[in-house]
Amino acid sequence: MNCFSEFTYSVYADRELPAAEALRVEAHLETCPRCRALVNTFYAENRLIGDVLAEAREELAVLPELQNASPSRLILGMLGALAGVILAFRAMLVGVSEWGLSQLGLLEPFSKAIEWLDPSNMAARLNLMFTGVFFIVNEGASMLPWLLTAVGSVLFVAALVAASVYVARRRPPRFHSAIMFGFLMAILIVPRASAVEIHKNEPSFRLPAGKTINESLMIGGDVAKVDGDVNGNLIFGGRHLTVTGHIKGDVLCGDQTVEIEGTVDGNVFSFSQATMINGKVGGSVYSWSQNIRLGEKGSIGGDLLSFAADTEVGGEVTRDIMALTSSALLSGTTGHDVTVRGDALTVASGAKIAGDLKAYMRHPDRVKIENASSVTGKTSIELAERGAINNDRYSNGSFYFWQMIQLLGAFVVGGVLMAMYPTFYTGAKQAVGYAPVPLLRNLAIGFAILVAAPIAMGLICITLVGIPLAIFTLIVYMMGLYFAKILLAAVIGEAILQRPSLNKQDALTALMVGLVVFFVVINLPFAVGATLHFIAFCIGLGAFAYRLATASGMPVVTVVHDNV
Amino acid sequence: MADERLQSLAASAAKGDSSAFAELYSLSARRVFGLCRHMLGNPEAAEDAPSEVFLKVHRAFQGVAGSYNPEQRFMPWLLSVAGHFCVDQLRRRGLETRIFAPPRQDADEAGDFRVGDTWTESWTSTKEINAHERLLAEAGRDEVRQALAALPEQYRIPLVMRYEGELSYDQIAESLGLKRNHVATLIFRAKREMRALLGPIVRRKDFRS
Repeated sequence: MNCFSEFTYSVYADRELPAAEALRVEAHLETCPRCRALVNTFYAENRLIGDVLAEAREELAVLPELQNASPSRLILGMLGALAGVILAFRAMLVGVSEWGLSQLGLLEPFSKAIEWLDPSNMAARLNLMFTGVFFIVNEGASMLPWLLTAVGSVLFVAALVAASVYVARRRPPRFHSAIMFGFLMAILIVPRASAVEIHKNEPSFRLPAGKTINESLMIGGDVAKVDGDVNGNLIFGGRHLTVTGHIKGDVLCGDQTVEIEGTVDGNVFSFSQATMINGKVGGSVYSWSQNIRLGEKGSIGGDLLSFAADTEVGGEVTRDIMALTSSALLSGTTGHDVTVRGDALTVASGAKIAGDLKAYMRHPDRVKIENASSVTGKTSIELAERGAINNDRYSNGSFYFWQMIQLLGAFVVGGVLMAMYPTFYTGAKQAVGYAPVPLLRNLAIGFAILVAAPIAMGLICITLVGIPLAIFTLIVYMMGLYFAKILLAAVIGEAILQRPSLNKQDALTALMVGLVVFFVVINLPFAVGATLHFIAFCIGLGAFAYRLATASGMPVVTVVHDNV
Repeated sequence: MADERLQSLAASAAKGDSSAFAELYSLSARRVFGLCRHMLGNPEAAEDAPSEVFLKVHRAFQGVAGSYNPEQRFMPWLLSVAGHFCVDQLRRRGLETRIFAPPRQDADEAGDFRVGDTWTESWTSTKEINAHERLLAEAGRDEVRQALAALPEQYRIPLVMRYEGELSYDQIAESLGLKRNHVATLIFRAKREMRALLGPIVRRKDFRS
């Protein structure tokens, strides 16, 4: 009988011959030592190739964490980074104010604005939510288009960024993806370049009256006078800008003096030494100037926000005035509230304020309210606090008492949770995780919920039907906030006791130990306690939500880390 | 034994047990990595592969895309998913032309081999085991590694799928979109190519020592 071909033997050695064929080959191998040797060589070869190929399995030192698809990883990463930035910023603010640098009076509004991020400050969060709800109910209708535009553009930009990062990450980078990336970056960076008329290095620019520019106008020069109309935005960098024409968009200027005598339909952003408005501004005015003056004939359709040494308002402001200024002189009319922080305030006769007047002054005696002025709402004048340090709470016995009550409360709630939903409880504890990645993930999720939930609740409230739903969400949200720390405390407890809780007694002990540590840590003085509290809180909340999502059967891939 | 463990883990993971899924991942991700490492040819791309492949596995368990039958042996199924994944990746990179083009210049060499062929020329004439064949079996791991690295993509991919992934000819054929016989030919040629590559490598080594 003839020998088979090398090829047949090769397929035979791979055990891929059809059964009948294989039998015939085997019969031949019985009789032919040479072919047998060849087949054995093939076996040895295959083994060797397999062994060498298998070596690569060990190249992977650490098993990568099992993760969801990359876009969500990206978004979580971005949120995590955002959380980090805000956290750092907040820590800085708290730190700065506690070191007594807040005399500048600048930091307080900022720290006030983000105080609702402080997990221990429930009042601030509620306040924010209800302010938001009332604001939306009262004025929301007019804001809705703006809000949709804003949300839409944020989503658009986020999608572009995500897409470009995704494209850039593709390995290996190929020609077409490079082009794509460039294109995306171009969309991101170039702000509608086609619609701008640019005049650079012109010592004196003049747009004569009666002439119209259909697009945006950008001028860099010494002196510019715009008597004609601009249908887009007007951007100016130079020394003097005078506008007597009609600007349909916004005005953005960085210069020595800007005078607006004409009409601006949009907003005015002014970084000028002196800003003078005698014309009509349809939107709001944001000014970082040494002096800002709204003349008697001037009017502002929106708000006036002024960071200036001197603020003088002679004309009409339809909405609020917020001024951080050393001296303010009000003699015009204001549609809503006036808030002034600074050194001196004069409300001249003839001034009309339809809302409240709030003044935070360093010297209350420098507030002058003349008789012939009218304030429809409340007038309150407060002494601006200078770097108030509430460290004295530690010397107060009731502080310890209430902390103790809170601790016991958390312990009881934790025990109940453990008894009623044991699997959920353990699962959530596991979701906290020790490795950096789940910690960061939880931080990101927790932060996102912390920020998004009040906003979402506010949005639900726009439709009046949604109010019960919003209240329900609020309750769940509050519960989440509360459970977050219990959860984290349990994990801390187990970490300290260095053993997982197998029975109830262990679990309760761990919870107690963890709670004690947690309460001590979050009450550390200065920014330390608050910052740690915030981080811990986000992590706990994130783990809670993650667990909730997994338990409810959402297709979240379990996170695994390789301990080998 | 390890196989039975995988089998039972896969069965419970397919029912939605997430801790079984996690264990399944930690037990078999390295195999996936190993296969993808060779198929994709680049360690960074291969590092992402296990989680991407397991995402597909998760979908299949849920019946969202593809399916898994608990009767099936898990590892071969997993590796075929991984193989598919890598082929998709390679396709995206635009390497498909090299893998899927029918054999070109070497087509005249021997034509397509058919199972059951008898006697090739070289085999009859030498009446001895070809020196190259011995060389491959006797070569050290280092040499084999070099030869594997030097192998053209069109040969390396089926070879890796066969000997690292332990996939059947049918599975490989399905992943690569080829006929079964073409796969058999590619694997046979791949090994012949390796022997040819190993000759000079081993000889160089002999010469030096």
